Amino acid sequence: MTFVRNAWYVAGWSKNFGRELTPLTIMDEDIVIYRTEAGAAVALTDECPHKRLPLSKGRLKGDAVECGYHGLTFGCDGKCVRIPGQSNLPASAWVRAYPLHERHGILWIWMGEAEKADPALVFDMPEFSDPKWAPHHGEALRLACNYLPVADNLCDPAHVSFVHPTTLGNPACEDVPIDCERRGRTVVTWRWIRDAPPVGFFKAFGNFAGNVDRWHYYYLHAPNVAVIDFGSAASEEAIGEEERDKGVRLFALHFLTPVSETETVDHWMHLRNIALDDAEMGDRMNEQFRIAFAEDKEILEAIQAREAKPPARRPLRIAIDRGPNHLRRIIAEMAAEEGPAQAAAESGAPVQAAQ
Amino acid sequence: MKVKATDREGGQHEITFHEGDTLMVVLTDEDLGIRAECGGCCACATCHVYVAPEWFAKLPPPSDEETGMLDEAFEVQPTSRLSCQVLLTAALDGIEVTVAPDWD
Repeated sequence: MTFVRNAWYVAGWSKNFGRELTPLTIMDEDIVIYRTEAGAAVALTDECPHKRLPLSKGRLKGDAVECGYHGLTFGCDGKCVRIPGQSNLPASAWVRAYPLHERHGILWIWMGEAEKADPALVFDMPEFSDPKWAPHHGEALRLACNYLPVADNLCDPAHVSFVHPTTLGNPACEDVPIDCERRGRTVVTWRWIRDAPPVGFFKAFGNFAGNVDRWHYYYLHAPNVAVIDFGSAASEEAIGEEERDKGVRLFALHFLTPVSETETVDHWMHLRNIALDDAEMGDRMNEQFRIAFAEDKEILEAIQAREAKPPARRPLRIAIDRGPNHLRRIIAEMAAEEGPAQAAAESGAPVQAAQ
Repeated sequence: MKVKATDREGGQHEITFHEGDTLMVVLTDEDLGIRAECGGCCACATCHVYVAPEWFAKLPPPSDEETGMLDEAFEVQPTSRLSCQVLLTAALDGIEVTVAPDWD
């Protein structure tokens, strides 16, 4: 399986990190995150290079971390600043410091070569800063599944009829074909279902009397960010494809963070163009998302469980697989590109230590 | 207008086509063992054929998507194409193709 390291991944919601040592694992790398006294987030390898105790078992001393075993102390840049009982600090006494970036209440971490960690590459969209939109954080859903099938699911509008019958899909769209296009490193899959009963989500929040035109546009920005533009408008309005703001429109965002080959965390949230001032609306919508994503979880974990057995036959490929096919090719390209550099990133040696 | 197709057993077929047919549809109508699992949208690589070199040169080049899918086909050769991506026109009257091997 393939990880792409030169990318920003969500470490967590900003609110979940503070002046305590928070351990987490991304791509099998153990990382400890904390905030400095001034509030800046810091991410270090969660392992003392001496006896391998997780640094998260130690304690914060000002802005530095003191190992809980022998007191070796590491600064925010990962360099050792103290070894109790000796005065020399060898160049090899360091832990990797990961580049971080915080925006819109989300903490992003760069898992690849540090010099390529450009904050301009952090995912953003103008609606985050647009008063006509209300962003609302969701949760961190842990899936016992490799991230690639999760990403497949997020360039696959066809599954909603079958997996999410009460919330995001209904039988009206079962046989509506899906358009698909690769745009650079983004896979776009979409379809419109015109003049059909609203799905559960829009029955709950759309206040529609009759049939609606419903759209789903899935943007999978490889390797790990999905934006699902979906919504409904009353069919009698006959809105054009580019007039989606006239309807009840949401962006459901999924930020996938691989934990290991068999585990992924999906940080999900939404932005909406209705009930902007209704503080409870976000939570009520999240109730529906929670139902839907638990349904995805059940499917994806069952698929992952089958990975332990070799397939008895070549998998069948059908028309709706175009999106996931594109995605897998993009990921393979990205991984191939960073192939030789990846080893260097994984060693994580800071430039200073090489002197 | 005709396609000259060689099946997996070496059998020769001359199959009539109409302008605008895809090669895949013509071959599946003749029941030459083409699976075409995805129905013709370049998602499965199960309509793989070898095009005779002189005809291969007359085809518009494959899209990146087709090239990517061909990576997953079996026994790919320099003149491999996915037949669902080959649109037949009068200029291709007489095109010679061989159905590529299956995998089981």
